[in-house]
Amino acid sequence: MNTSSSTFSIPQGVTAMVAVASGKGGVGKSTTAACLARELHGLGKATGLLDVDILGPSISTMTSAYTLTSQKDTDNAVTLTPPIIEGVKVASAGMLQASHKASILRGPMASRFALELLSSVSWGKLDYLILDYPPGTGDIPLSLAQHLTNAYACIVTTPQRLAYQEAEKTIDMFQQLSVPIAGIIETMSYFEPKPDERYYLFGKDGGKHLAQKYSLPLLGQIPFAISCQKIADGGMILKNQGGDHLEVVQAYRQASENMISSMEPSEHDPSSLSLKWSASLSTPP
Amino acid sequence: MMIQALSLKQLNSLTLVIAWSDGKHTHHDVRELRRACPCALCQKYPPNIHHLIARKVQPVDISSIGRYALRITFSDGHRSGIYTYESLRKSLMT
Ligand SMILES: Nc1ncnc2c1ncn2[C@@H]1O[C@H](COP(=O)(O)OP(=O)(O)OP(=O)(O)O)[C@@H](O)[C@H]1O
Ligand SMILES: [Mg+2]
Ligand SMILES: [Zn+2]
Repeated sequence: MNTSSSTFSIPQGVTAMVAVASGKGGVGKSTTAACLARELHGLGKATGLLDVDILGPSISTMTSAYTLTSQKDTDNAVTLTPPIIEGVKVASAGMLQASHKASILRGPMASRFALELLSSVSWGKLDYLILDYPPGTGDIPLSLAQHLTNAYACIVTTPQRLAYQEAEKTIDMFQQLSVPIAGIIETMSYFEPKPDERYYLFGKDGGKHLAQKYSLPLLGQIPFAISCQKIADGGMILKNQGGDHLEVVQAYRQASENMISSMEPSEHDPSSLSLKWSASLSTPP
Repeated sequence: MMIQALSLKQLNSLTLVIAWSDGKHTHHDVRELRRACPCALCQKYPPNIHHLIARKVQPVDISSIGRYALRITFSDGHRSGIYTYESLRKSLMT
């Protein structure tokens, strides 16, 4: 494990990391991170899910009953093997036993701890590693973003004014640090108890306006589903539960497809540009 | 739909021309782009323009990120700056 270097680049074998972040807490970040991970796996991408929200890890409560198994190699470095849940490799600080936590924790800072956790897990080959990111723009999210070179961000917000105004600060933070933003996901966008009956519980299109304001893709608008609450509490967010969860699953499937095309623009995509600079062209007077 | 870059062209060794979806064009001095790199490091410790000129720093490769920004890899190895279309359009007003 590399503890001297101040930048942690992407773990070897991981093609892209996506930090699922928000301005406000409680907007559905962890749900989004888990659902994106599951849908990306469903789309044939090798996917991992890491809870870096060290102070409030929720992935482990959502995925109850799984543990990270740890081995020490000859120079006492810890390697953690993530459980595979519904095809997704999952790691969270909440999955560590206290004794293992102590052996990973080298410094007092939670951001450091998150980075140590990231680099201690044997992820193997992954197309996407989804990070459940701490909310806001405080010290921890800021210093994590500074260290996560090569990562993308995905911004989660509810349609509420307060939520998307806070999300703007998070977008500014990532842009300031030159972390590219894959897009915006609006959660709890509407409640549809029966077809043709929609209620906008938290206002309408806040995430959409945010996307337009920053010229970012709106990856999806996720309906409010009563099952989400039950599932999160029941600990099995990664499983498709049927019922009104189906609409949530479908919305996240679409969002995952949109995220892939935002991050992997195809050569036929007219919005994808590239230019090789020629060193030999004339110099202007 | 927001205004997007349609094409990138190199005019001469120092000038990048961007054609936009509303028919406008912007011209950019590439050393100025490097000097004003928006990454956190360069914002804190801005590169010295004289050093950039002396070392003939220029782009190697320019490519889009999603639908909202360009990433420029420079010959000094620096590539952490993300130049949003919004910020690049600002040069229209100057
Ligand atoms: N689409 C949805 N419909 C209904 N409830 C939802 C939906 N998405 C998330 N929730 C619920 O909202 C609450 C907050 O969600 P979640 O824990 O994913 O948010 P968070 O942003 O990670 O919160 P925190 O900041 O506390 O980590 C949870 O009870 C969750 O079950
Ligand atoms: Mg959470
Ligand atoms: Zn820079």
